[in-house]
This record gives sequence, C-alpha cells and structure tokens, in this order.
Amino acid sequence: MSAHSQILLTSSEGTEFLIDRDIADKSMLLKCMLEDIGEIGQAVPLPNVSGPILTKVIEYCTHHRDDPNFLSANDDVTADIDEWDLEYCKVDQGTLYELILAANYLDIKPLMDLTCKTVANMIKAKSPEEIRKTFNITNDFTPEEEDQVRRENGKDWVDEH
Amino acid sequence: MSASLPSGPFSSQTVFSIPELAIVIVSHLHPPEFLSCAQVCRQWHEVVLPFLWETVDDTLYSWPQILKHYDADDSKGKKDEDWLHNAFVKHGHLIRHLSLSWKASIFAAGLSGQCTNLLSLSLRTSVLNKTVKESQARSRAMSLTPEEGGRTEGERRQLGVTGPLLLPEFEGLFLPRAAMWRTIAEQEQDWTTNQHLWQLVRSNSALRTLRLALSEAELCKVAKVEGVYDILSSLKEINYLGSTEYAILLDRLLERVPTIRHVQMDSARVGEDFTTRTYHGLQTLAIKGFVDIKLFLKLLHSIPNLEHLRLIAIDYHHDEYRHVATHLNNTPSRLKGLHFNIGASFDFGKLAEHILPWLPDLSELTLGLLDAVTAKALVTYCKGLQVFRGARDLQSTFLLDYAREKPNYLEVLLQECRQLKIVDAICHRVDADRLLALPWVCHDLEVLHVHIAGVHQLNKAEQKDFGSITSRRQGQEVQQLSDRDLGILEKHKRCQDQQQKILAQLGLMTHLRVLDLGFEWRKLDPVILLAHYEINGKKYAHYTNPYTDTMDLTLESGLGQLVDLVNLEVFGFEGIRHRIGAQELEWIAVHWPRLRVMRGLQEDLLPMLQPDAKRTELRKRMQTLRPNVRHQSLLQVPESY
Repeated sequence: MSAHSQILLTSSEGTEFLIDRDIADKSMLLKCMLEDIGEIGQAVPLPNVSGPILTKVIEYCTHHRDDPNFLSANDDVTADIDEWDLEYCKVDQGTLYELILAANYLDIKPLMDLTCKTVANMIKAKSPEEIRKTFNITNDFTPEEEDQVRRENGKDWVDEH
Repeated sequence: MSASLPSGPFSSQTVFSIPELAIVIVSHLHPPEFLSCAQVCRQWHEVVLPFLWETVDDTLYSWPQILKHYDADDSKGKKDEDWLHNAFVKHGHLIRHLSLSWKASIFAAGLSGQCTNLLSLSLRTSVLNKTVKESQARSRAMSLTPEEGGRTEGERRQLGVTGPLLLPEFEGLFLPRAAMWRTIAEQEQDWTTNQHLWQLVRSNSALRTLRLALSEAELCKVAKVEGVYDILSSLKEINYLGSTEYAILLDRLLERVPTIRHVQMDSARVGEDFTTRTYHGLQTLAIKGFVDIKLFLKLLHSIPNLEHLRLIAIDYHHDEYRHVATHLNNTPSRLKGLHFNIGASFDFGKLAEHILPWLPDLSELTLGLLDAVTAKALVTYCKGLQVFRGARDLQSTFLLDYAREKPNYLEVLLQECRQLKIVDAICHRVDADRLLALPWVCHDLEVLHVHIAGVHQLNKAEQKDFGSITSRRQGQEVQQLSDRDLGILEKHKRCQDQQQKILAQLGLMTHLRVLDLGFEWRKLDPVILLAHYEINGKKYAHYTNPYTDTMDLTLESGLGQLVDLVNLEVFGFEGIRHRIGAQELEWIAVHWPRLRVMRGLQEDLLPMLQPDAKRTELRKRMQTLRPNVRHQSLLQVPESY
C-alpha cells in the first residue's frame, strides 16, 4: 500500500471527504478498520459525524499530522494547552460537544483529551450556580436536597473553619 | 469562549450522560471542583459523586478541621461525630483509595463496615493528630491524683487496658499497649480502634496496596505476627506492602503472601533460614536503613527476580564483600536498579570492585557522589546503564557545596554509556574541561540535570577592562592596545571557546526534553547571617552570590548551537551566573517550540531577599514572548521530572 494513498469518508449528510491515509490513521477506528479490510476503494460511511464536524476533525488531524508524540502528548494532564489547540477550541458549546462525541466515536484520544480539558476549564473556579449558567442547566434539586449534598460531602471543601 | 446556548440536540447533558466522556472531563478537575459539580443538578451529582469520594485522605482539604473538632460539645451544627460516622456509612462503598492518619477516622471507617471496595489503604502515624477535646481530657486525666480517682504514670505504664473482642479471630492476636501518656479511656478506645483497623484490612479482599506507616505502639501491639500474615494472605490481590514498625519478617511474608511484588520496610528483617529458599515473586524492595553486606548478598541470591533494591547504604563491616561469588553461587544477579539514598558513601571502591561486576543488567543507579573507580566500573560492567540519579532526598545546597570540593566523574557516563537516557543529578558538579576531554556518546539522552562548573571566566577586574576595551572599539577610536589589553582579549576568546564547545556537545543531544544546568544556590551568608540591611524601610538579608565558574548561556557564547534541541520542554539555569538577556529569550522563544517550563527567572521565594529587578524584567519579557511557559524552581518539582 503506498504511503500516499487516500481514503474517502462520507459524513452523516452524505458529503464526501477525500483525505490522506496518514490523516485517517490518527483515528484508531479508521486505522483498525483500514488495517483489517485493506484498501476498500469505496467511501467509509460515518453516520454519526456531520460534515462541519468532520471538517473540524480533519483540520485537527492535519495540523498534528507530523506530531511524533501524537498519542502521548497529552499524558501530562496538568500541561497547558498549546496556542493552536486553544484557538481551535474557540467554538460554540454545541460544536464542542459534537467534537467530543466525534473524537470518542472515531477514537482520537488527543482530540478527546483536548476537548474534554476545554470543558473542564469552563468548570474550574466556578460556583454551582455559575456552572449552571455556563452550561444552561436547570437546577432540579430542591433547596433541601442541595443543602444536603453540600453538608454530606463536607461543605466548603477547601477551607472549613 | 462563546457563551452561546447549546445548539441542536447536543448539550452538556448529552456529553455527561456518556460515562466514559464524563470520566475524561472530570479527570481534569480537582476535589474542590467535584463538590461544585455535584451540586449542579441530579445528573451531575450522580456522575461526580464517585469521583468526589474515590480518594479520601484525612490530611487534606477540610478533613483536619473536621476531625480536630468532631467530638467538641459545642460543635454548633458543624461536623460532628454523627457526620463523621455517616460520611463513611453513606459513601464508604465509593472509596477506592483511603489514607488515614487520625484515630477517629480509622475508627469511623472501620465501624461503618462500608469501606470494602478499597484498592489502597494507607494508615499513617497519628501521633500529632489530637482533637481539641482529647488534648484537654488528657491534661485533666494526667493531673488527677490517685485520691481523685486518677492513676499514677507508673500504673498507666503497667496496666494496658483491653476491651471486648470484635471478632473471635482476633483472640490472642493483640496486646494492649500500656502507654503512660495515654489516659485509661484513651487506651480503651485504642484497643477498639486497633481492631477496627485490622477489620478494615480484612474486609477489603481486593486490596492491592497496604501501607502500615504507623507504629504499632500507637494503638496496640501485635502479639502474634503470624496473625498478620494470616490476614494478609487472605487478601488475594495484595501486591504492595509498606510497613514501618510491625515485626514482619521478609521471608515469612513472601512465603505466606506470594502475591506480594513490592515491599517497603524500615529495616530488613529476615528469619534465620532465609537463604535456604528462593522467593520468586518480589520485584522491588525498599529498606529505609543501612543493610549489612551479608544480608545484601543474601537478598540478591534468594530473590532472583528482584528488579529494584533501594536502601540507604551497604554496611561493609563484614569482610563478606570478598566472597560475593560464593554468596551468589557464581550466578550474576539480574538486578536492574540499585538505589542508595545517601549523599556520599565512603566505601573506598568496594561497590565498584566487588558488587558491580555481578550486576550486568543494571540499568538504573542512584548514588551520591560518583568517584572515578565507581564510574569506571559502571562503564565496564554495567554497559546497559540508562538512568543515573543523585540521591534525590538529599538535594541541597549543602550537598552542592560538598560536591564542589570532591572530584566527581559523572562525565565518564556521558562519554561512555551509549544507552544513557536520564541523568538526574543536579548536585553533581561536572568539570567543564573534563567534560570536553572526550566526545559524548549518549545520543539518546532525554533528561539532563547536572551542574556544569569549572567554566573559565574573566575575573572582575579583567571583566571591567574588557568592557572598556570593547566600548572604545565600538567608539571607533583609533587606539593602541596594550599587552594587557591583548591578554584580556585573548583570555576572553579562550573562555568563549570553551563554552562554545560545551554547547556544541549539548547541541548534539537532540532527544533532550529536560535540560537543567544548575539549581537554587543561594543561602544565607554564614558570615553575616545576622546582619540585615534596609532599603526604604524594608529589611533584607545577605545571601551568598551564585558561583562564578558557570556558563554564560548567551548567543555570543554559543547558545545558538542548541538549535536542534527541538524537543526541549524544560530549560533550567538556576544558580548559574548566566548573562541571558532579551536577545537570548527571543531566540529561545522561536527555536524551542515545545518549551513549557523555565527555571531561573521565577519569582524568588526566599525570605528577606531583595527583589531582583532585572530578573523580574526578563521574566515579564519571556511571559510576553511565550505566555504558555511556566516559570518555576527545580526545588518545587515533584517526582516526574
């Protein structure tokens, strides 16, 4: 198989994407599939991924194309996100969640780590109410239940006096 | 980040409803944030609660405050005994890693009967952890006279107090601990708490890691150590045991609990018939003490699969080191890592001459000073050496000073060990000239922490003259250079050449991820320790100056030769009288794209140290150039680097 071979992918709407094999290999799902069945010559359908999201995913894999530490780069969970990745994640929340789901489905661990870390950063240093606002979540606790959660788990976890 | 409302069907609820995604997100958060998340809504509560309780360490977060006051009469709605008890009853089943160092929490965790899913359990010394009420009760009880119903110290010492047995299996296993500093009531409590502790161990059949880092004198003595082996052998998964004072014999333990792979002990205790058997399971053994040479050889022989052995040092009192072949039955040991936690061992070459020839697989060595004989033996006998570390716990300015006085031969490893990957020995001083004597062969080197010293530099007066010569030259003044001037220019060139050559060597180590060339050198000047000085009403202390015979790290002296170190993530130059300026920072910012940490420009944390304006300015410059590079000291860095 030539190193420059290309793969055809079809998004959920039926849009076709022609990408280089090494880009496709960043996805463990595609890599295993292609290794198993070899050159198939027809489009690989991705019914769970929409065209715009697939475009974003391909953009990510292309940028990290020659990254030698692609699979180990995010082992250090405390490491900061690099500038390009930071820019990349500046999307609306709906897109971000779709990216997480796509990364999960396609099994692209670094993208999954990056997007999940971005969500985690939106949670950090926020009160429960601020978190609800950020994620547009309705509080379905009764005031008593909420108080109980706080008490049972050691309220003011950080500095209780 | 746009705060727009979730579009379409994809909301945070979708993501949080898939457990494997929630786990990845939550793994980037810390316990205080778990609590905020748990309060958001029912779904998040359900997802986050297992994380919130997965790891419990009663020395962290609000635990010490809760425990200190839990038994107070006037707890006024704060955490009390009920809270403590309920916490373990309700959430105990979620806890996987439990670390306890308060008797009250050991008691509550054991009593709850719910902490049965533990993977690791650490029981640490509790001597400093007393509730306010306990302290008061103790001083009251101690001051009661026998007439008032109290007991004398002597009586308390003699009469250990027992209580009911929780389990029939515990019959005869424990002895009450008679301690004069514990009141009768406290000793009764200790008797019960001790049983809860062992009950906690017994009831966690999936336990993998057990640290008994409390002394048996804190609760009750173990009367029959056999009983401890019985309990441990009922834990089918256990593979790590750390123990301090319990009188566990290593060989009996390995015999009774064959799943054990890793053991840490305060001192090496073995039975008399130790050498008659071999123990195949054990892989790592750490002993927080000196180990007699005879026992050291016995360990190597009887534990054939031992990979790593950590100890303070070998005690060569016996002559047995002359008979290594006999002890090892003429079979080389397969040991991969040998770690001495001592600054300098004065073994006069015994390790080199007698031990290292029998360790052909050694790939990791931790050692204080590396003398010439040991260095030579390493490259002769241990050709696969990959990791060399200085004794980490002893990293100190004292050791650095000490190491400067003693000849060190670390460069031999760089010049002869092809497989070397990590040199983590910042206290080891490597002499610049010797470093250049031979080319380095360790092209796989990834981590280098080493102090390069003995770099030729102009002295103060020469430096000043050099400055005036160059400024005269720049002024285009027609000038006559004196012989002294020419001498200074010549010396300057020689100094720069030496640094160029060192940096050229370093520049070939293209796998380097971490490069540290010094660490925090400053300490209070012993001569003028008490003399402070004042500027604008602020008091400052005198600190010693950095060493002068270190690298400049300027572009002029050859920094540009590190251009191929594109994998560099950490660059450190603490304790170096470097001349890095804005120009150098710009070069670094462009050429090392992976750089994440810089050590040498961070904010000073030493007390009463006059702020260094230049350093602050350079840090700000670097922060503008590369905002994602953190500035921190090597001394704050935990294990991983």
